[in-house]
Amino acid sequence: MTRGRLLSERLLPGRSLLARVLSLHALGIAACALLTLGSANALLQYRTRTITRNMLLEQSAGIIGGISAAPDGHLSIDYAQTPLAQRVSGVFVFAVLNGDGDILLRSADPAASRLVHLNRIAHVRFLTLSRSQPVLSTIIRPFRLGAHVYWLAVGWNLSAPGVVFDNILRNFLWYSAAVALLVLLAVLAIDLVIMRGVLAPLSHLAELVRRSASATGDDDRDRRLQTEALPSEVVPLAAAYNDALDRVEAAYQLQRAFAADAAHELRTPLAVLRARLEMLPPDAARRVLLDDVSVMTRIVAQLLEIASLEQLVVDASASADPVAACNAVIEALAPMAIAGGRDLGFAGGPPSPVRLRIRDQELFQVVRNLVENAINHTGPGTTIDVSVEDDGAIVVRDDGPGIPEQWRKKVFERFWRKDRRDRSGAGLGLAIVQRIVLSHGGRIELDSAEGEGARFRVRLPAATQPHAAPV
Amino acid sequence: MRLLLVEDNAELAVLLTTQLQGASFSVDHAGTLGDADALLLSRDYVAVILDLGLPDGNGLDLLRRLRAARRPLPVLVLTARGSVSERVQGLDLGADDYLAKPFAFEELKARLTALLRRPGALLGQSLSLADVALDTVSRETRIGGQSLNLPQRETQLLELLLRRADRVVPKSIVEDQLFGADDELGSNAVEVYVHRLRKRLEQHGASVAIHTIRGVGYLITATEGAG
Repeated sequence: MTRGRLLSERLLPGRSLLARVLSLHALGIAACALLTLGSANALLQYRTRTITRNMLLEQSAGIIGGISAAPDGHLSIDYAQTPLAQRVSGVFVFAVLNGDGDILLRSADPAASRLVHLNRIAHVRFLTLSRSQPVLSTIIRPFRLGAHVYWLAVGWNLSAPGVVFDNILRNFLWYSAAVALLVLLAVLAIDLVIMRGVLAPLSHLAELVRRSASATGDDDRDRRLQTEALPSEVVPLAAAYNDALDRVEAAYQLQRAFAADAAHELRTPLAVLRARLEMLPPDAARRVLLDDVSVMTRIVAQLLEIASLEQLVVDASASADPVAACNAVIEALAPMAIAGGRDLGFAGGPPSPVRLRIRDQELFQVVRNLVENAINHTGPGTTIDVSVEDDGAIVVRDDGPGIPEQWRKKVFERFWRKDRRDRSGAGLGLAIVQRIVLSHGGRIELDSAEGEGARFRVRLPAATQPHAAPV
Repeated sequence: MRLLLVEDNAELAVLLTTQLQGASFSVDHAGTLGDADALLLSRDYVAVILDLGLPDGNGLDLLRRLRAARRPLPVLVLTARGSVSERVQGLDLGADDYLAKPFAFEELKARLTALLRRPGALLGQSLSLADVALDTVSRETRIGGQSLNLPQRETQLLELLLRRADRVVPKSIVEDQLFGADDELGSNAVEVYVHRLRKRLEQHGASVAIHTIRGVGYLITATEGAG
């Protein structure tokens, strides 16, 4: 098995199915052509030999019939009795030998002298003399004349001008080989066309898979391959792909739901814990523990947000008012800012209304996380200004300690905090902001100088329907 | 003042009941939608605290039924799901306020009190925060029991702020409520009244503070040390 595969790998280095089919087919056709040529050649050889032998037997019989012995033992030949030999004179040579190998009679052709080397044995023997030119196909046979035994050797000069059939047949073999080669090439060309046609559904399938893999729709049924139009042989492949997709999707859903479920499940126990702590007598320990619960609460809330970001909907027709979002966030966070001694306010909006291509809730999340970040990472007495520029860019600026150069990229990473002991959150707020902004085709800029505060500027594309009814 | 608490987590229900009783509310507890329906039929409540994830259904169904029956009962929704879209859905269905678990009891109490302070609601007549009290009918303001003679617009402003104590009152609402359509409005008219009210409260040593949320609105809180 392994050796077979290795062999085929060695024979077929290409990974293209088409190349594989073509080369295998070429190999098969070449083998068939060789087999055909070989057997034709063998058949031809056999037929030629039979014809040659019959011819030689006939000739020798004719010659023997024309030989007569004088009473003194002298042999003579009467050509009139040997019509065949005469007719093909120059093609056939002969010699009559006695037991000692002496030539008693011979044809005039010099090639006849080569016949003396044939072994004289008791029965008919055929032999081809090919050591020197011309090539002779020979027969040597004993015959009895009177009381003596003689041997007649007949040679057939195959190179003689009259003997053409053999050459024609041999050439025919070569012609056949050339024709076979042409047929092979034609078959390969046809193969190419056939295989292209057969493989077309596969490339179509590949295209479907490629499109499915890059599909960005939220509806995962979009990603499934439509099997109706596919050939029945390819359907199992597409079905297997769909199955795999389903399983990946199910696992992904499970994992996605897990984060959200876990966060949900944590909330009620946290509420219980908080209520219990609130009923303790007010002392330092209670305050610290309540702070801890607040931190956990915030982390759980951010985990939920991250989980919901996984199913973030980017709605191309969404439209949100950045000024309204900033006001809503400030209203929501003002009590927290005041409790922490920060001065939070709205520092101005554009002269004419602007609408951004994002849903209200996501825009609210963006601004809230930016403001929460400013509240959490500055000290009491800090001023935090939220504003909307004329083009709709949202700016959250504080005059706190600022963000050193080396941290400016890191602040957007998930779970990054400048100090692991900082317990104000999970380090997810700005990561969430960035994720929402980028997925809506916007960008976020951070300017900061140490000791001079930080300024986050969020730019989002304008809404495509600028006068959509506010939600 | 009797509240209906609909919450399926027994521990949390017991703790909340204790805390609410400490804040001088009477509390009935229902662990399921069925119990809640039965209680709502048999008694009158001033408000409902409604958890959404209940063993026999979603609390939003109860809310939907209440609103369909045109019962004006204030409903404060509690939920373990804090996502913005659910919040919007809850408020669309007629929830009066929305609080995600876990929450500080003070927050719950403040929201509840704010609901009951709404005009026409149970606490709507007498509003108080720390040592400041305002009778919305007699228009009398008292600080620590001492009557304070506040002009009409300052009283109106104080009422607005007290109804939403601890929460931001948008400047636009203050403008609408304080001034008629005919009033000539200077750009800082509201700020002038806020400044006057703030000064009066300070003069009388009130333990409340009016904060300006620049560009957005105003917010009244109890200052530290006052309950």
